[in-house]
Amino acid sequence: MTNEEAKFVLSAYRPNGADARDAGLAEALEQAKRDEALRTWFERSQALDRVVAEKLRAVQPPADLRASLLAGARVSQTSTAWWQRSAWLGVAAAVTVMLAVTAVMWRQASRGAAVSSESIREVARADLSGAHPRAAHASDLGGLRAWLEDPANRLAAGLPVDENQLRDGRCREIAIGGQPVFEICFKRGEGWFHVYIAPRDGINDRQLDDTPRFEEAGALAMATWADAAHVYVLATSAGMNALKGAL
Amino acid sequence: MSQEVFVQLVDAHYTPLYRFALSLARREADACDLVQQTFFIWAKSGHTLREVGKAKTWLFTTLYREFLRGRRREGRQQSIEDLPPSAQDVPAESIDQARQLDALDIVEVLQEVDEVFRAPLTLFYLEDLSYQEIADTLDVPIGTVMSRLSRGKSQLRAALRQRDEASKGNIVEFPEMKKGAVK
Repeated sequence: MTNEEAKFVLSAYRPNGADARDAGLAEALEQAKRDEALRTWFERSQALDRVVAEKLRAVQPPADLRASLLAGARVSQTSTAWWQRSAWLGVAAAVTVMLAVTAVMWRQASRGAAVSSESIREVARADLSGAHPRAAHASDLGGLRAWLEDPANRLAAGLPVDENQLRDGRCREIAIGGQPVFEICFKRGEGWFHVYIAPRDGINDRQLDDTPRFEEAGALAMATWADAAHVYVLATSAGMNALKGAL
Repeated sequence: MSQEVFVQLVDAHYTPLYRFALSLARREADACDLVQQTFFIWAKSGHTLREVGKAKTWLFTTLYREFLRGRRREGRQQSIEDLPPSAQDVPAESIDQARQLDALDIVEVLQEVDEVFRAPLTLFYLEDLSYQEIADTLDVPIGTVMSRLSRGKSQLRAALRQRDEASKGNIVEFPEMKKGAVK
Protein backbone atom coordinates (compact mmCIF):
# COMPACT_ATOMS: atom_id res chain seq x y z
CA MET A 1 0.00 0.00 0.00
CA THR A 2 1.45 3.37 -0.98
CA ASN A 3 1.08 6.39 1.25
CA GLU A 4 -1.43 7.88 -1.18
CA GLU A 5 -3.53 4.73 -0.91
CA ALA A 6 -3.23 4.81 2.87
CA LYS A 7 -4.43 8.44 2.95
CA PHE A 8 -7.42 7.44 0.84
CA VAL A 9 -8.36 4.68 3.30
CA LEU A 10 -7.61 6.72 6.42
CA SER A 11 -10.02 9.43 5.27
CA ALA A 12 -12.73 7.11 6.61
CA TYR A 13 -11.20 6.85 10.10
CA ARG A 14 -13.49 8.67 12.54
CA PRO A 15 -11.79 11.11 14.88
CA ASN A 16 -13.47 9.60 17.97
CA GLY A 17 -11.43 6.42 17.48
CA ALA A 18 -14.49 4.23 16.92
CA ASP A 19 -12.73 2.56 13.97
CA ALA A 20 -9.52 1.67 15.84
CA ARG A 21 -10.24 -2.05 15.52
CA ASP A 22 -11.67 -1.98 12.03
CA ALA A 23 -9.99 -4.67 9.94
CA GLY A 24 -10.43 -2.68 6.72
CA LEU A 25 -8.37 0.21 8.12
CA ALA A 26 -5.78 -1.83 10.06
CA GLU A 27 -3.11 -1.97 7.36
CA ALA A 28 -3.25 1.78 6.70
CA LEU A 29 -3.13 2.49 10.45
CA GLU A 30 -0.07 0.30 10.84
CA GLN A 31 1.59 2.09 7.96
CA ALA A 32 0.87 5.45 9.60
CA LYS A 33 2.70 4.26 12.72
CA ARG A 34 5.76 3.28 10.69
CA ASP A 35 5.95 6.10 8.14
CA GLU A 36 6.73 9.51 9.60
CA ALA A 37 5.36 11.56 6.69
CA LEU A 38 2.13 9.59 6.68
CA ARG A 39 1.88 9.85 10.47
CA THR A 40 2.25 13.63 10.35
CA TRP A 41 -0.43 13.86 7.67
CA PHE A 42 -2.75 11.58 9.64
CA GLU A 43 -2.32 13.54 12.88
CA ARG A 44 -3.14 16.81 11.13
CA SER A 45 -6.06 15.28 9.30
CA GLN A 46 -7.43 13.87 12.56
CA ALA A 47 -6.93 17.21 14.33
CA LEU A 48 -9.01 18.98 11.68
CA ASP A 49 -11.61 16.20 11.71
CA ARG A 50 -11.91 16.45 15.50
CA VAL A 51 -12.53 20.20 15.36
CA VAL A 52 -15.19 19.89 12.63
CA ALA A 53 -16.92 16.98 14.38
CA GLU A 54 -16.96 18.87 17.67
CA LYS A 55 -18.44 21.98 16.04
CA LEU A 56 -21.07 19.93 14.22
CA ARG A 57 -22.09 18.25 17.48
CA ALA A 58 -22.77 21.68 18.93
CA VAL A 59 -25.61 22.27 16.42
CA GLN A 60 -28.87 21.86 18.30
CA PRO A 61 -32.26 21.16 16.73
CA PRO A 62 -35.06 23.68 17.27
CA ALA A 63 -36.60 23.27 20.71
CA ASP A 64 -40.01 22.34 19.31
CA LEU A 65 -38.84 19.61 16.93
CA ARG A 66 -39.11 16.77 19.43
CA ALA A 67 -42.65 17.78 20.42
CA SER A 68 -43.66 17.98 16.75
CA LEU A 69 -42.21 14.52 16.04
CA LEU A 70 -44.05 12.94 18.92
CA ALA A 71 -47.30 14.73 18.10
CA GLY A 72 -47.07 13.63 14.47
CA ALA A 73 -46.31 10.05 15.48
CA ARG A 74 -49.32 9.83 17.79
CA VAL A 75 -51.55 10.69 14.87
CA SER A 76 -49.73 8.25 12.56
CA GLN A 77 -49.92 5.43 15.07
CA THR A 78 -53.65 5.89 15.47
CA SER A 79 -53.89 5.43 11.75
CA THR A 80 -51.51 2.42 11.82
CA ALA A 81 -53.52 0.68 14.52
CA TRP A 82 -56.54 0.95 12.28
CA TRP A 83 -54.67 -0.80 9.48
CA GLN A 84 -53.51 -3.55 11.79
CA ARG A 85 -57.01 -4.69 12.78
CA SER A 86 -57.50 -7.84 10.76
CA ALA A 87 -61.28 -7.42 10.63
CA TRP A 88 -60.76 -4.25 8.68
CA LEU A 89 -58.23 -5.61 6.20
CA GLY A 90 -60.83 -6.52 3.57
CA VAL A 91 -62.47 -3.13 3.83
CA ALA A 92 -59.06 -1.51 3.69
CA ALA A 93 -58.20 -3.38 0.48
CA ALA A 94 -61.44 -2.24 -1.12
CA VAL A 95 -60.82 1.33 -0.07
CA THR A 96 -57.30 1.10 -1.47
CA VAL A 97 -58.64 0.02 -4.87
CA MET A 98 -61.08 2.91 -4.84
CA LEU A 99 -58.25 5.27 -3.96
CA ALA A 100 -56.18 3.93 -6.81
CA VAL A 101 -58.79 4.77 -9.43
CA THR A 102 -59.65 8.23 -8.20
CA ALA A 103 -57.15 10.90 -9.09
CA VAL A 104 -58.08 13.29 -6.33
CA MET A 105 -58.02 10.58 -3.72
CA TRP A 106 -54.72 9.34 -5.10
CA ARG A 107 -53.23 12.72 -4.36
CA GLN A 108 -54.36 12.46 -0.78
CA ALA A 109 -53.14 8.88 -0.39
CA SER A 110 -49.67 9.87 -1.59
CA ARG A 111 -49.49 12.42 1.22
CA GLY A 112 -50.69 10.01 3.92
CA ALA A 113 -53.97 9.40 5.74
CA ALA A 114 -55.97 12.45 6.72
CA VAL A 115 -55.18 13.69 10.21
CA SER A 116 -57.18 15.45 12.90
CA SER A 117 -57.04 19.21 13.36
CA GLU A 118 -56.08 18.41 16.97
CA SER A 119 -52.61 17.46 15.70
CA ILE A 120 -52.22 20.99 14.30
CA ARG A 121 -53.29 22.44 17.64
CA GLU A 122 -50.69 20.24 19.37
CA VAL A 123 -47.99 21.81 17.22
CA ALA A 124 -49.42 25.28 17.93
CA ARG A 125 -49.39 24.60 21.70
CA ALA A 126 -45.75 23.50 21.48
CA ASP A 127 -44.90 26.61 19.44
CA LEU A 128 -46.59 28.95 21.88
CA SER A 129 -45.06 27.28 24.91
CA GLY A 130 -41.91 29.14 23.93
CA ALA A 131 -40.41 26.64 21.55
CA HIS A 132 -41.14 28.37 18.27
CA PRO A 133 -38.21 27.96 15.83
CA ARG A 134 -35.85 30.91 15.88
CA ALA A 135 -35.56 31.13 12.10
CA ALA A 136 -39.21 30.50 11.33
CA HIS A 137 -40.32 34.05 10.65
CA ALA A 138 -40.04 34.60 6.93
CA SER A 139 -39.67 38.08 5.55
CA ASP A 140 -40.80 37.45 1.96
CA LEU A 141 -44.50 36.69 2.42
CA GLY A 142 -45.59 39.61 0.31
CA GLY A 143 -49.25 40.48 0.16
CA LEU A 144 -50.63 37.76 2.41
CA ARG A 145 -48.76 38.94 5.49
CA ALA A 146 -49.80 42.53 4.78
CA TRP A 147 -53.40 41.31 4.51
CA LEU A 148 -53.09 39.41 7.80
CA GLU A 149 -51.56 42.37 9.60
CA ASP A 150 -54.27 44.78 8.46
CA PRO A 151 -56.64 45.09 11.46
CA ALA A 152 -59.52 45.80 9.09
CA ASN A 153 -59.38 42.22 7.77
CA ARG A 154 -61.19 39.45 9.63
CA LEU A 155 -59.64 36.02 9.13
CA ALA A 156 -62.81 34.00 9.63
CA ALA A 157 -64.47 35.92 6.79
CA GLY A 158 -62.03 34.24 4.39
CA LEU A 159 -58.30 34.35 3.78
CA PRO A 160 -56.89 35.07 0.29
CA VAL A 161 -54.95 31.80 0.23
CA ASP A 162 -53.19 30.45 -2.85
CA GLU A 163 -51.60 27.10 -1.99
CA ASN A 164 -48.89 27.41 -4.64
CA GLN A 165 -47.86 30.79 -3.28
CA LEU A 166 -47.92 29.34 0.21
CA ARG A 167 -45.37 26.71 -0.77
CA ASP A 168 -42.99 29.44 -1.92
CA GLY A 169 -43.73 32.00 0.76
CA ARG A 170 -44.54 30.71 4.23
CA CYS A 171 -42.79 30.84 7.56
CA ARG A 172 -42.79 27.08 7.92
CA GLU A 173 -44.12 24.00 6.20
CA ILE A 174 -44.69 21.16 8.64
CA ALA A 175 -45.55 17.58 7.70
CA ILE A 176 -48.06 16.26 10.22
CA GLY A 177 -48.76 12.62 9.62
CA GLY A 178 -47.60 13.21 6.05
CA GLN A 179 -50.00 16.11 5.53
CA PRO A 180 -48.60 19.52 4.66
CA VAL A 181 -49.43 22.34 7.07
CA PHE A 182 -48.28 25.87 6.28
CA GLU A 183 -47.62 28.34 9.04
CA ILE A 184 -47.58 32.10 8.71
CA CYS A 185 -46.60 34.33 11.61
CA PHE A 186 -47.86 37.89 11.75
CA LYS A 187 -48.30 40.71 14.18
CA ARG A 188 -51.39 42.70 15.05
CA GLY A 189 -51.02 45.41 17.64
CA GLU A 190 -48.52 44.14 20.18
CA GLY A 191 -49.36 40.47 19.77
CA TRP A 192 -47.89 37.78 17.54
CA PHE A 193 -50.31 35.44 15.83
CA HIS A 194 -49.66 32.14 14.08
CA VAL A 195 -52.06 30.87 11.47
CA TYR A 196 -51.68 27.23 10.42
CA ILE A 197 -53.27 26.38 7.08
CA ALA A 198 -53.87 22.80 5.93
CA PRO A 199 -55.54 21.56 2.74
CA ARG A 200 -59.12 20.57 3.60
CA ASP A 201 -58.76 17.05 2.19
CA GLY A 202 -55.87 16.32 4.56
CA ILE A 203 -57.91 16.95 7.69
CA ASN A 204 -60.51 14.43 8.77
CA ASP A 205 -62.67 16.66 11.00
CA ARG A 206 -65.62 16.82 8.63
CA GLN A 207 -67.69 18.75 11.18
CA LEU A 208 -65.48 21.84 10.91
CA ASP A 209 -67.11 24.78 9.16
CA ASP A 210 -66.68 28.54 8.91
CA THR A 211 -67.71 29.05 12.55
CA PRO A 212 -64.54 29.22 14.66
CA ARG A 213 -64.25 26.81 17.59
CA PHE A 214 -62.28 28.24 20.48
CA GLU A 215 -59.84 26.85 22.99
CA GLU A 216 -58.26 28.79 25.84
CA ALA A 217 -55.58 27.91 28.37
CA GLY A 218 -54.23 30.89 30.29
CA ALA A 219 -53.03 33.46 27.78
CA LEU A 220 -52.94 30.85 25.02
CA ALA A 221 -55.95 31.13 22.75
CA MET A 222 -56.76 29.18 19.62
CA ALA A 223 -59.52 29.05 17.06
CA THR A 224 -60.14 26.37 14.47
CA TRP A 225 -62.38 26.72 11.44
CA ALA A 226 -62.57 25.64 7.79
CA ASP A 227 -63.75 26.67 4.37
CA ALA A 228 -64.17 24.50 1.30
CA ALA A 229 -60.44 24.37 0.54
CA HIS A 230 -58.60 24.72 3.83
CA VAL A 231 -58.64 24.17 7.57
CA TYR A 232 -57.26 27.01 9.69
CA VAL A 233 -55.90 27.12 13.21
CA LEU A 234 -55.19 30.61 14.54
CA ALA A 235 -53.14 30.74 17.74
CA THR A 236 -51.80 33.53 19.91
CA SER A 237 -50.48 34.02 23.39
CA ALA A 238 -52.04 37.51 23.45
CA GLY A 239 -55.27 36.19 24.95
CA MET A 240 -58.78 35.35 23.79
CA ASN A 241 -59.90 38.94 23.28
CA ALA A 242 -57.02 39.62 20.91
CA LEU A 243 -57.77 36.38 19.08
CA LYS A 244 -61.45 37.19 18.65
CA GLY A 245 -60.46 40.66 17.49
CA ALA A 246 -58.57 39.13 14.58
CA LEU A 247 -61.43 36.87 13.56
CA MET B 1 -44.48 -0.49 18.24
CA SER B 2 -45.32 1.09 21.57
CA GLN B 3 -45.31 4.83 22.12
CA GLU B 4 -42.55 4.31 24.69
CA VAL B 5 -40.25 2.63 22.16
CA PHE B 6 -40.99 5.33 19.62
CA VAL B 7 -40.11 8.07 22.12
CA GLN B 8 -36.81 6.27 22.84
CA LEU B 9 -36.10 6.07 19.12
CA VAL B 10 -36.83 9.79 18.65
CA ASP B 11 -34.69 10.75 21.64
CA ALA B 12 -31.78 8.62 20.47
CA HIS B 13 -31.67 9.80 16.87
CA TYR B 14 -33.51 13.03 16.16
CA THR B 15 -30.59 15.32 16.99
CA PRO B 16 -28.01 13.71 14.64
CA LEU B 17 -30.74 13.29 12.02
CA TYR B 18 -31.50 17.02 12.28
CA ARG B 19 -27.79 17.90 11.91
CA PHE B 20 -27.57 15.68 8.84
CA ALA B 21 -30.76 17.18 7.42
CA LEU B 22 -29.56 20.74 8.04
CA SER B 23 -26.32 20.11 6.19
CA LEU B 24 -28.29 18.75 3.23
CA ALA B 25 -31.26 21.09 3.13
CA ARG B 26 -29.59 24.30 4.36
CA ARG B 27 -32.78 25.82 5.85
CA GLU B 28 -33.86 25.03 9.38
CA ALA B 29 -37.51 24.65 8.40
CA ASP B 30 -36.68 22.23 5.57
CA ALA B 31 -34.41 20.23 7.87
CA CYS B 32 -37.26 19.91 10.39
CA ASP B 33 -39.59 18.77 7.60
CA LEU B 34 -37.12 16.08 6.56
CA VAL B 35 -36.78 14.75 10.10
CA GLN B 36 -40.55 14.85 10.56
CA GLN B 37 -41.11 12.98 7.31
CA THR B 38 -38.48 10.37 8.28
CA PHE B 39 -40.17 9.57 11.57
CA PHE B 40 -43.56 9.59 9.89
CA ILE B 41 -42.33 6.91 7.48
CA TRP B 42 -40.93 4.98 10.45
CA ALA B 43 -44.27 5.19 12.24
CA LYS B 44 -45.95 3.91 9.09
CA SER B 45 -43.56 1.15 8.08
CA GLY B 46 -40.44 1.08 10.25
CA HIS B 47 -41.99 -1.39 12.67
CA THR B 48 -41.60 -4.03 9.97
CA LEU B 49 -37.81 -3.79 10.28
CA ARG B 50 -36.70 -7.15 11.62
CA GLU B 51 -33.51 -6.01 13.34
CA VAL B 52 -34.17 -3.07 15.65
CA GLY B 53 -30.40 -2.59 15.83
CA LYS B 54 -30.53 -1.39 12.24
CA ALA B 55 -32.99 1.38 13.04
CA LYS B 56 -30.25 4.03 13.04
CA THR B 57 -29.03 3.20 9.53
CA TRP B 58 -32.63 2.85 8.37
CA LEU B 59 -33.49 6.34 9.63
CA PHE B 60 -30.46 8.00 8.00
CA THR B 61 -31.13 6.12 4.76
CA THR B 62 -34.78 7.15 4.76
CA LEU B 63 -33.96 10.79 5.46
CA TYR B 64 -31.39 10.85 2.66
CA ARG B 65 -33.85 9.23 0.22
CA GLU B 66 -36.51 11.76 1.14
CA PHE B 67 -34.01 14.53 0.54
CA LEU B 68 -33.08 13.10 -2.87
CA ARG B 69 -36.75 12.65 -3.73
CA GLY B 70 -37.31 16.35 -3.03
CA ARG B 71 -34.23 17.28 -5.05
CA ARG B 72 -35.40 15.22 -8.02
CA ARG B 73 -38.71 17.05 -7.90
CA GLU B 74 -36.81 20.30 -8.05
CA GLY B 75 -34.57 18.97 -10.83
CA ARG B 76 -31.41 20.11 -9.08
CA GLN B 77 -29.59 16.85 -8.64
CA GLN B 78 -25.89 17.23 -9.26
CA SER B 79 -23.97 15.17 -11.75
CA ILE B 80 -20.97 13.38 -10.35
CA GLU B 81 -19.09 13.89 -13.63
CA ASP B 82 -16.18 16.28 -13.91
CA LEU B 83 -15.43 16.41 -10.24
CA PRO B 84 -12.20 18.12 -9.25
CA PRO B 85 -9.27 15.93 -8.18
CA SER B 86 -8.67 15.49 -4.48
CA ALA B 87 -5.90 17.50 -2.87
CA GLN B 88 -4.82 15.61 0.22
CA ASP B 89 -2.49 18.03 2.01
CA VAL B 90 -3.79 19.27 5.35
CA PRO B 91 -2.23 22.64 6.07
CA ALA B 92 -2.05 23.57 9.74
CA GLU B 93 -3.97 26.77 8.92
CA SER B 94 -7.05 24.70 8.08
CA ILE B 95 -7.21 23.50 11.69
CA ASP B 96 -6.93 27.05 13.04
CA GLN B 97 -9.51 28.29 10.54
CA ALA B 98 -11.97 25.61 11.67
CA ARG B 99 -11.33 26.37 15.36
CA GLN B 100 -12.28 30.01 14.84
CA LEU B 101 -15.74 29.14 13.53
CA ASP B 102 -18.84 28.43 15.57
CA ALA B 103 -21.22 25.53 15.00
CA LEU B 104 -23.48 27.24 12.46
CA ASP B 105 -20.46 28.59 10.57
CA ILE B 106 -19.26 25.01 10.18
CA VAL B 107 -22.68 24.02 8.78
CA GLU B 108 -22.37 26.91 6.31
CA VAL B 109 -18.90 25.79 5.27
CA LEU B 110 -20.13 22.22 4.84
CA GLN B 111 -22.81 23.56 2.52
CA GLU B 112 -20.12 24.82 0.21
CA VAL B 113 -19.02 21.23 -0.34
CA ASP B 114 -20.69 19.64 -3.37
CA GLU B 115 -23.83 17.79 -2.39
CA VAL B 116 -22.52 14.43 -3.55
CA PHE B 117 -19.63 14.72 -1.06
CA ARG B 118 -21.54 16.59 1.63
CA ALA B 119 -23.82 13.69 2.58
CA PRO B 120 -21.05 11.18 3.39
CA LEU B 121 -18.89 13.92 4.90
CA THR B 122 -21.61 15.04 7.31
CA LEU B 123 -22.39 11.46 8.29
CA PHE B 124 -18.66 10.93 8.88
CA TYR B 125 -18.39 14.01 11.12
CA LEU B 126 -21.51 13.06 13.06
CA GLU B 127 -19.46 9.96 14.01
CA ASP B 128 -22.58 7.87 14.51
CA LEU B 129 -21.99 5.66 11.48
CA SER B 130 -18.94 3.70 10.36
CA TYR B 131 -17.85 3.98 6.75
CA GLN B 132 -19.56 0.64 6.04
CA GLU B 133 -22.80 2.00 7.52
CA ILE B 134 -22.41 5.21 5.50
CA ALA B 135 -22.06 3.03 2.39
CA ASP B 136 -25.27 1.18 3.35
CA THR B 137 -27.07 4.43 4.09
CA LEU B 138 -26.16 6.06 0.78
CA ASP B 139 -26.37 2.77 -1.13
CA VAL B 140 -22.89 3.10 -2.63
CA PRO B 141 -19.80 0.84 -2.44
CA ILE B 142 -17.29 1.34 0.41
CA GLY B 143 -14.62 2.54 -2.05
CA THR B 144 -16.99 5.26 -3.25
CA VAL B 145 -17.55 6.41 0.35
CA MET B 146 -13.78 6.66 0.89
CA SER B 147 -13.33 8.52 -2.37
CA ARG B 148 -16.13 10.96 -1.55
CA LEU B 149 -14.78 11.49 1.97
CA SER B 150 -11.33 12.20 0.60
CA ARG B 151 -12.61 14.65 -2.01
CA GLY B 152 -15.17 16.13 0.35
CA LYS B 153 -12.49 16.90 2.94
CA SER B 154 -10.41 18.50 0.23
CA GLN B 155 -13.33 20.76 -0.71
CA LEU B 156 -13.99 21.52 2.96
CA ARG B 157 -10.40 22.68 3.44
CA ALA B 158 -10.68 24.84 0.34
CA ALA B 159 -13.93 26.34 1.65
CA LEU B 160 -12.31 27.06 5.02
CA ARG B 161 -9.41 28.76 3.27
CA GLN B 162 -11.73 30.85 1.08
CA ARG B 163 -13.81 31.89 4.07
CA ASP B 164 -10.71 32.88 5.96
CA GLU B 165 -9.38 34.92 3.03
CA ALA B 166 -12.77 36.56 2.53
CA SER B 167 -12.97 37.54 6.19
CA LYS B 168 -9.51 39.09 6.00
CA GLY B 169 -10.46 40.87 2.79
CA ASN B 170 -13.58 42.25 4.42
CA ILE B 171 -11.65 44.25 6.97
CA VAL B 172 -12.30 47.84 5.93
CA GLU B 173 -9.45 50.08 6.80
CA PHE B 174 -10.46 53.39 8.20
CA PRO B 175 -9.40 56.13 5.82
CA GLU B 176 -6.67 58.31 7.16
CA MET B 177 -8.16 61.60 8.18
CA LYS B 178 -6.67 64.81 7.09
CA LYS B 179 -5.89 67.12 9.90
CA GLY B 180 -8.63 69.62 10.37
CA ALA B 181 -11.14 67.66 8.32
CA VAL B 182 -13.37 67.00 11.33
CA LYS B 183 -14.71 69.81 13.32
